[in-house]
Amino acid sequence: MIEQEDLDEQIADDRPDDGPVIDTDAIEDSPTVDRASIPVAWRILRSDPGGWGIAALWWVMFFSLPLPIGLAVLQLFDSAEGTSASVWLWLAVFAGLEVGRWTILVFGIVQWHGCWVYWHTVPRVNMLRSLVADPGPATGRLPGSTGEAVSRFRDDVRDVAMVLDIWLDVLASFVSSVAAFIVLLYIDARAALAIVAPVVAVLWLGQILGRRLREWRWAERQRTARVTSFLGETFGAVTAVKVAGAEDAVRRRFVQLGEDRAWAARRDQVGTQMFQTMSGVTANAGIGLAMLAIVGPIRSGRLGAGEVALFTAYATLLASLPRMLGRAAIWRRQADVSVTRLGRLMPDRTPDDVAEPVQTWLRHGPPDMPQPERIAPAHRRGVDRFERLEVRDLAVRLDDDEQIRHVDLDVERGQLVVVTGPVGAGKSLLLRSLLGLVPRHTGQISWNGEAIVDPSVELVPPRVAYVPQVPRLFSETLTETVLLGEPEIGLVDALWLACLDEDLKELPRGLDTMVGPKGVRLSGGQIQRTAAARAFVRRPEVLVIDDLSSALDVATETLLWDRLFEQRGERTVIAVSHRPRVLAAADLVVVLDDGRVVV
Amino acid sequence: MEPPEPPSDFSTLTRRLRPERGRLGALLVVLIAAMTLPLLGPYLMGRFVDQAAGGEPASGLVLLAALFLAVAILADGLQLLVTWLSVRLAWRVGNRLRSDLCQHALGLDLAWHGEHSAGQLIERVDGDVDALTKFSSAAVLNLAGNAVLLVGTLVVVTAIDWRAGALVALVTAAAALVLMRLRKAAVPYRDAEREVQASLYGDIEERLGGLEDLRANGAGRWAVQRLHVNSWRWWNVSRKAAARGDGALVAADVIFALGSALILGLGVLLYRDGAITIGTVLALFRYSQLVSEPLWEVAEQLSEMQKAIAGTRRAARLLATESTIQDGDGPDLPGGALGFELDDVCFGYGTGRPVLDGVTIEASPGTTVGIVGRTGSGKTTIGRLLARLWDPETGAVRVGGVDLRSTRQADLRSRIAVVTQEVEIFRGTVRDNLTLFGTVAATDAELTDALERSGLGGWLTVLPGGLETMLHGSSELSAGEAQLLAFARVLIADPGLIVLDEASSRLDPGTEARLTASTAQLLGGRTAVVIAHRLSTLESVDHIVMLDRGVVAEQGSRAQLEADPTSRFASLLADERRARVSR
Repeated sequence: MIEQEDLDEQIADDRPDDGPVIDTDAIEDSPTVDRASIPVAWRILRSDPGGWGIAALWWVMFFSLPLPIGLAVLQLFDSAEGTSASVWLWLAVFAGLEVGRWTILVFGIVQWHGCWVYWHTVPRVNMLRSLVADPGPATGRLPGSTGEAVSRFRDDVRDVAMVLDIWLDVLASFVSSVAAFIVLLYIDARAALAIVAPVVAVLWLGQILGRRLREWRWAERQRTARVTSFLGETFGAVTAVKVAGAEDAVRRRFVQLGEDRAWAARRDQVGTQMFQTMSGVTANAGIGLAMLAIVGPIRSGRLGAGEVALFTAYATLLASLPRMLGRAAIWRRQADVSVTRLGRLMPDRTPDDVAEPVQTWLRHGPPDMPQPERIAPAHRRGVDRFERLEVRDLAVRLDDDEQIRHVDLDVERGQLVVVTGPVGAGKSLLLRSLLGLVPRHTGQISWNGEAIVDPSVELVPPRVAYVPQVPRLFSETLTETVLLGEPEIGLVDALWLACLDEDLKELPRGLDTMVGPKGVRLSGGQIQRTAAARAFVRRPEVLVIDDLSSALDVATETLLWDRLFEQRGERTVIAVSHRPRVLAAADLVVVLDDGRVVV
Repeated sequence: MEPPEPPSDFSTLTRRLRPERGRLGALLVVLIAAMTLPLLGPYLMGRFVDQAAGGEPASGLVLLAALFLAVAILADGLQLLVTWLSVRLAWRVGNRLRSDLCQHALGLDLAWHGEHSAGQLIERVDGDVDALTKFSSAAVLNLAGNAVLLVGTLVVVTAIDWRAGALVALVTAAAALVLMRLRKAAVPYRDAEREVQASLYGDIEERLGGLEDLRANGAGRWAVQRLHVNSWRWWNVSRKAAARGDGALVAADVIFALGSALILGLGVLLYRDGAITIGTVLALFRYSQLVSEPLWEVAEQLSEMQKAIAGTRRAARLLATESTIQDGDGPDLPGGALGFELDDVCFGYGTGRPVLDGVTIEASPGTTVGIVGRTGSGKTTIGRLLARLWDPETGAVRVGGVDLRSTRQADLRSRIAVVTQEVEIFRGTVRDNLTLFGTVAATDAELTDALERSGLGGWLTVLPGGLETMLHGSSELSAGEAQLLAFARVLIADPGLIVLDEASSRLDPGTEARLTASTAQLLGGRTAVVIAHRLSTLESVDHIVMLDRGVVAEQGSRAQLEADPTSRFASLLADERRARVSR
C-alpha cells in the first residue's frame, strides 16, 4: 500500500528531470492485450510467495483490527452506565488494540518495501539480461531513445508492481469487510443491510464512472502530450522559429493548445474527485441509513450509543472496499499497457518472460561475479584459437536501402586487415554487421571453417573484442570501466598498449578515478583510448577497431599502432583507418565505396 | 544572463492571480461552507442517541437521521464544487504563466538556448508550472480547508466541554510536534533512498545507451551484476527509510489513538458525573477522530509546497533572464531587394576563439554571393549574423544600410529568410507549416501558387486534405520534399534577402535538379547568399567569397576568379572537375 491518489497516480509525475516528456503515441508498440498483466504479476508473486504472504498477513491484520476495536468501544459504552469498573478495562483494551494496530503497520510497511523492491527487480533483471545477452543484433532493441527505454524500466515496471500491491489491499479490505458484515448481521440484520446497500451501489456506479474516467484521462493525456510535444518541437527548432519571426504565432498556437488541454484536464480532475468523494459518501450514507433502520431497536433500548459507534467504524471500513476494487481495475488496465511496453524490450520472448523467476540477492547482495576461466591467448586451442575468418557475400540493408553489398573478406591469423574508403562508404557498418551488432541481409561468416550462425553471441571475447568509433564509457572508476567484469590481470598491459600510461599520471586518483558525468570528464581522445584498453584487456584472438583517428591526434595514434605492431605475429586486427602508415603496414587493404569493395 | 539571486517568493504566481480576485473570493466562501458542514455530523449523531434514550417519538429520530444523511451528501457536493472552482482557477492562472514563460523563453538568445535542451525547457515551461498549479489548486485549498476543519472541531469540542477541548488541543499539538520533528528526522533517509534510485536509473540509462559496447565486449553479465548491486542497495535503504521515516509518522497516529482513548475516558467520567449525556460522549469520541485526518493532509501539503517553491523560483529565474539580443530603435528596413555588408566582423560565439576574424563582405541589392570554404571555416556563422541570431563581437553587420544592432528583430526577420539543410517540419497542417502558424498572412491561392512554383504542386494534389492535411513531423516528407517546402515558405514570406546554407547538400542528384529550377524562382529579384561546399551549386552566382578558418582568403566576381588561373577558386574548380572525371 502506498499513499497515492488513485487515478492521479496514472499521470506518473516523476518524470525524468530534464528529459522530454514522452509523447506516448509517437512510439509504436503492439496492441495491448487485455488482462496481460495478471499472469505476469501472478508469476512474480509465485516466485516469492513467502514475501508477499507475510506482507499480506500484516495487511489483513491492520485492516481487520478495527473490528475488535469497534467491539471494545461497544463494550465500553455498554458498561459506561453505573459504577462498574469494567469500563476502564475496556478503555485499556481499546487503547492497547489501537497501539497494536499502528505497530503492526510499521512492520507491514517495512515488509512491504522489501516486496516493492523485489517486484521491481525481477522484471528489470529479466529485461536487462535479455537486452545484453539474447541472441540477435543490438540495434533495434530499444523502441525509442534511451530515455524512453529508461522510462519503461522505471514507470512501466512500477505499474506492474502496483498490481501486486493493490492485490494486497484488495485481499485485506475484502477479508475485513466480510468479517465486518458478519458481525453487523449478528448485531442487527437491518442495519447491516443498510450499511452494505450504498457499498453495493457505489461498486456498480464505480464501474460506469470508471469507464468514463478512463476516457477522460486518456483524452487529457493526449492533449498534454500535444502541448509538450509542441513545446519540444518549438524549442528544438528555436532557430527556425526565430529566423522566421514566428514567436508570436507559436505562442498563440501554444495558448490554443493549452486551452484545449485545460478543458480536458478540468473534466478529468473533477471526475477523479467525484470518484474519491463517492467513498466518503458511501460511509456517511451507510451510517445515516443504519440510523434510519435502527430507530425502532434504539428506542426500545436493545441498541445504544455503543452500537452507533460500532456502525460508524464498520461503515468506514466497508466503504474502503469499492475504492480498493476501483483502484485495482484502474491499475490492472494501466499495467496491461505496461506489460506490452515491457515485452517490446524482449522482442524474441513472450511478455510473460518479464516475470521469469530470478535470484535477486536483495537481502545480502549478489555474490562477486564468478571470474570467467580465461586461458591465456598463447594456450588457447580448438575453436577459441583463431586460424582464419571468412566472410562471403555480406550485404546489409537499412530501411530497404542496400548499404553494403557482396562483400567477401578473408582474414588469417596474425594479419592486419584495413578497411578504408570515403565518408559514408559503409566502413563502420561492415564491422558492425560482422560483429552481429546490426542485422545482415545475406552473408556467411565462418570461424576456423565453422559457420557462425549468430555473430552477436559467437564473435565476442575471448574470440573478438571491439573498439567502436564513438565509444560509450560507463560512470565508474577507470579500472571498472575498462575491466567490466574481466579479471584484473593484464590491465596494466592493456592501458600501456592503449597509450593511457601518461594520462594516468595526470588523473587525481589514478586507476581509481571516477570517470564519466559523475567524475572526471575525459577528453575525446582519452575516451577512445580507454575503449581501446577495454578491448585489449579482453586479450581477444581478433581485435576489431573502428577508426581511431576521429578523436586522436596523429602522434598518439601512431604510437598506439606502433605498440600494437610489436607483437605482429600473434595479433590479428581488423581496422577502419585512413592513415597511410597503417595502410602501408596492412596485409590486406579493403577499399569500400558506396557499400562495395572497390579494390 | 541568468540573474544570480532568484526571488524566492510567490510573486510570479500572485501577480497572475490578481485578476482572478472575484473567483478566488467565491471559492473561499464555498470552501468554508464545505469544511464546516461535516462538523454537524457527530452532533446530530449524539442528539440521535440521546433522544432515543430519552424516549422521544420515532418521527424526531427519523428527522435527525435524515438530516445526518442530507448534511453528509451536501458537504460532499460542496466539496465537488470547490474542486470544480479551484481546478478552473488553477488552469487559468497556470496557462497564463505557461504562455508567459513560453514567450519569454522564445525571446531569449541562442547562446542561452544552446545551454538549455528542448527537454529541459519542456520541464521549465510545463513541468514546473504543473507543480505550481497543483499546489495552488489542491494544496492551498486543502491547507485552508483543513485548517478550517481543525479549528472548527476544536471550537465545537470546547463549546461542549472546555476540558475536552483542552485535551483535544493538547493531543493535536503533540501530534503536530511529533510529526514535524520526525518528518525532519526522516529526511536524510528519504534523500539516501532518492540517491540510490537516481544512481540505479542513471546506470540503467548508461547501459542502454552503451548496448553495443556491452555486447561486443562480452560485458553483459557485468551490467546485470551491477543492477543486482544497485537493487540490493535500494532494498536495504528503502526498508531503513521505511522503518525510520514511515515508522516515525505512525508515532503521530499512535498519539491520536491515545488521545481518542483519553477523550473516551474523560467522557465516561463526565457522564458519570452527570455533566454530559451518553450521546455527547459519542459525539466527543467522533470529534476526536475527526482531527487526525486534517493534520495529515496539512503535513502532506507542506511537502508539496517545497516542490512548488522550487517551481516558482525556477519560473521567476527564467522570466528574469534577459536576452543579449535586444531590439534597437533604428529605422525599418527598406523594401525590395536588400543589400548587405559585413564590416570587419569578428565573432566567436563568446568562447574567445574567433570563428570569423575581420571579415568584410559587401553585396549590393539583387546580387547573389556564393560562400565557399571547408567545414569550420565560418560559412554558416555569416548566415546567423545576417539573421541577427547573434551580434558580432566587433565590427558591424548592415542590411539595407541599417546596422542590425539598431533594428527590431521582428522587422528584420520578416525581410530575411534562411534555409538550411535541416528543414523543420512541425506537427501541424500544411498551411501551419507554410505560414509558420500564421506568422505570414497568405490566401489559399498564394499558398498553392508557392507550392507549385517550388515544384510541390504534384505533391499537394495527392494530399488527402489539401492544405489542411496534418503533417506529423519530418518523417512524412522526403529530404527533398522538405527542402522544397522550405523554399515555398520563403516564396510566401517574400523576403528581400535569402541565405541558402548548404540547402542541397543532402539531396540525391535527381532531387537536386528539381531544386535548381526552384532556386532560380527563389532568387529572382532578391539578394542572396549561397553557402556551399560543392562548387556545382555556385554556377549562377555573381560574387564568390572564399573563407579559410574565419578569414576571407579570396573574393571577387565569379567570372574574374574563374579566369585567373592563379586563384584558389580556379584551382578548386579544376580539382572538382578532375574528381568528376575519375569517378
